[in-house]
Amino acid sequence: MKHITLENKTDFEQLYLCYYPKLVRFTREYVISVEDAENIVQDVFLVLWEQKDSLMYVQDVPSFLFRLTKNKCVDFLRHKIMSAEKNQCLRDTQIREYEYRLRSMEQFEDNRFEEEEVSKLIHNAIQSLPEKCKEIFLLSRFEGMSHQEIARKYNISQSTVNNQISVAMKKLKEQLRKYLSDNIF
Amino acid sequence: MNCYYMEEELNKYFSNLLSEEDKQMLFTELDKDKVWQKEFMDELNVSSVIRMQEKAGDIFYAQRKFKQFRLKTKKIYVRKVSLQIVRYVAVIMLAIGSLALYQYYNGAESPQVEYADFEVPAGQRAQLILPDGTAIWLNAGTKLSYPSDFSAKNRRIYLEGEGYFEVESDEKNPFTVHTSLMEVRVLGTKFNVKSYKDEASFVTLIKGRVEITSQNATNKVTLNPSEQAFISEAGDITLSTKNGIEKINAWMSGELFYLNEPLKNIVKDLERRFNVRILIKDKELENDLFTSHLDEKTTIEQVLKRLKATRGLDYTIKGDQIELLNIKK
Repeated sequence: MKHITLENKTDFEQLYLCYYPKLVRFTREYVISVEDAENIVQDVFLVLWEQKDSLMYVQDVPSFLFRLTKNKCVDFLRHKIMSAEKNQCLRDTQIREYEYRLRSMEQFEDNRFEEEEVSKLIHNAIQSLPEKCKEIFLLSRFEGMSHQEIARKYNISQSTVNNQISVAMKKLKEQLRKYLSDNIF
Repeated sequence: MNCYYMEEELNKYFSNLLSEEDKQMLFTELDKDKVWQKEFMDELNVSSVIRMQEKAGDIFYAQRKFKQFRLKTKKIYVRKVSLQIVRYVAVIMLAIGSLALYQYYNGAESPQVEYADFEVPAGQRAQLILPDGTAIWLNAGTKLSYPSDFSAKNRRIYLEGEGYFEVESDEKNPFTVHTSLMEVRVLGTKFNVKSYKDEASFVTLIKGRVEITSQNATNKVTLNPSEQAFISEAGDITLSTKNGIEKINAWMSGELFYLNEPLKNIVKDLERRFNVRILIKDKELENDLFTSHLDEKTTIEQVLKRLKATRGLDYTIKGDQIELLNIKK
């Protein structure tokens, strides 16, 4: 999927089919609701569709798509926080949750985003984990199992599950360091 | 607050295990400490990147969403192209206009009459002003032909589809609209002609007077305001008085009005309006009567949802084609 051009409809469809689900899951981490995430990503593809003729020469369409998604997300969260403060329709904790997620998103390093490289880094990090730790992490983050379910499956305590996942996350953070902005102070 | 506590709490937060109060406490702690703030952001950003990995079942989810997406792009695409068409018309009209003027002043007769076609694709509408001042609005999927010697003295056009006419009055030089089934002869007037290929043909008069002659010249009627003529394939003309005459040209502003209209007729309009193909799967639905009003902003998706919500009717979208069927009991 490296050199996608949008010269014909099939290319656009392929691009959509490949990236829509991924971007929705990515977006959901920041905007919390699946429905909001789906709308945002649908909008992103509408923008792409409208500009597809001028995009023929963009070398790396996936990166472009990714930046577009990030920007839409940031706009969405800013607007959400602003209107929530004005209308007082959300609880304080909810607003702060959105605020922290917005800040995280703004920190996300998207200029150097290389999808294939990221995949490789994640793969490497996961492969380097001890077997049990790897299994628990995969069940939690890829299969969506709850800590309770995992604890029951392996007959271990929930806090052990928690620890294993935190070991895995540390490893991943290390590997993906270059995408995590350092200059927040 | 100690390190262990924060690490544990963050972990629980991202695993969705914190209660509302726990969350509040976590955020209060985070506000105090930039190191943990960074920890929070890194954790979230890493999680989100991990979530981007491909998953089984993605393709089916994406295909479902792509269908919805296609319906949205259709609407946008249409809007954009309509603008282009309007500009296009202006250019054509200028060309005919100057040609007509040239002939008018030179009194020249063209040795050979040629016809120019103007076609409005599905999903679009167009407006023309003819050199004699007549205004014509053309609905989607309509073909209009006019002779190259069209002028204030020679006012005849050929139509397949639907058009609304406001004809400049000139008693000496009648304006004629020809369709495959009839000829409509007018003096000065406002009327609507609907004559799509393989569909029922109607002429509806709003103001003035028109004379309709069927193509084989067997029947001839004069229409009064508020009257509608139905012209059959065999050339029979049936007159009726039409209620809600002011709605007959609502399509010009992108509206569609239906008062007890059979579904099969509505479907034809929708196909042209949204440039989609619609198949009535269960034939018994074809003659079901519907009353509905669509405005310019209504999308095909909304129309389908409305049909589904109000009547025992369901729909599926297969690629370019929409299928209407009875709701499964």
